[in-house]
Amino acid sequence: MTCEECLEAVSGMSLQESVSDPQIRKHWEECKDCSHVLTVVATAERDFSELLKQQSSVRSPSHTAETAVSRVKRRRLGIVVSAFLVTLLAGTLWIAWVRVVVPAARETVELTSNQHLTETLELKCLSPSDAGTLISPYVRANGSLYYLPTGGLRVITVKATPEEMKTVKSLLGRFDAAPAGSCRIGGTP
Amino acid sequence: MTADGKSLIARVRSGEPEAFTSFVEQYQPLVYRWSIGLVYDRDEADDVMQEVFVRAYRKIGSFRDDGTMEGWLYRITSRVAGKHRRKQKRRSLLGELPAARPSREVYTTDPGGRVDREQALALIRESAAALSHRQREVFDLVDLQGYSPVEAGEMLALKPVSVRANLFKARASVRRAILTLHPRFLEQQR
Repeated sequence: MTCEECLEAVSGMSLQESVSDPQIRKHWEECKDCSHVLTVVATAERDFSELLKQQSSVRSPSHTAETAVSRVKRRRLGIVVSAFLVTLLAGTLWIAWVRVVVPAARETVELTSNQHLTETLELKCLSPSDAGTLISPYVRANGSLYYLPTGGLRVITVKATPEEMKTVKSLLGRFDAAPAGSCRIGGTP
Repeated sequence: MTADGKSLIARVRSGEPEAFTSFVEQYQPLVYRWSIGLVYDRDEADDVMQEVFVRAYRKIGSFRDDGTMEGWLYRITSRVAGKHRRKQKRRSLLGELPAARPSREVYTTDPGGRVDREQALALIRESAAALSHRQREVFDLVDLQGYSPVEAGEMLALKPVSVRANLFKARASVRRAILTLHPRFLEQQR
């Protein structure tokens, strides 16, 4: 056996196995270099093992046990508290949503839909007073109203929400759109 | 497991504080030895050991009586140490410890002065520190602590063939530095 073969074999074997291998043992007895290096390996591994074995914790077992128990209790408490806080946060968010966000959103929508428009509509066959009589049930609430002109103009000015304005236009369209003389209610052209 | 061991575990499960203290007294040296073999730093080994007992106390209910307590604790230690190692970007090696020196001052110096004992220890320490987590576990359990590959496999939940493969690579890595001090290698390097 050559030194290379011996070292190759020893590099992955347990030292006990390598000592009990007859070929390695024979080479070891004949070669001082291999013998020396293998002794160094064995000694170094043993020293390293001893070194690790000699280390001991500075903590007493009773302290370790007490710390472990208290940490487990603290972590369990932490989980309970975390769960409680998450639930509380979820509840708070839900209440805020229901009590604040949703009403505010509704109010905004209502405000947007209640925004008044003012338009002056030309009349083709109805008189302004007839037109006023016709639309008055639809422009009574929410601050809506209409104005009748003075001086014989055939117009009516309406201040109403977009929905109301739509109804007013629809009504006037139905009763005022026809040519002169064919109004469905008794106005004069 | 002995009847006493089972009785102790039953008492720990029932929540007796004294029983857990006895449990820690019994296993702390072993867990600390494993911890320091995996992290190579005394303070970190203390932290790992503490966390192992925290987990052991919390999960003692999941320990199956048909397994060994050593194996169960070792697997916890391995997981905690692995997590710890990943967390630590920079850690001091065992070489920085005062106790890292050989116990005997006098040492068998090679007549040729090629390599001394302290140097060899430093080499092996550095090589072992560079091993992967799995190789370090196997090398520590089998070569340094004297467990058989089968026992190590049970502790690590590995097949014996995997233990042997990791052990072969670990030994080759650890011994390479020392074996290359052989005159033949030195001649080749020149």
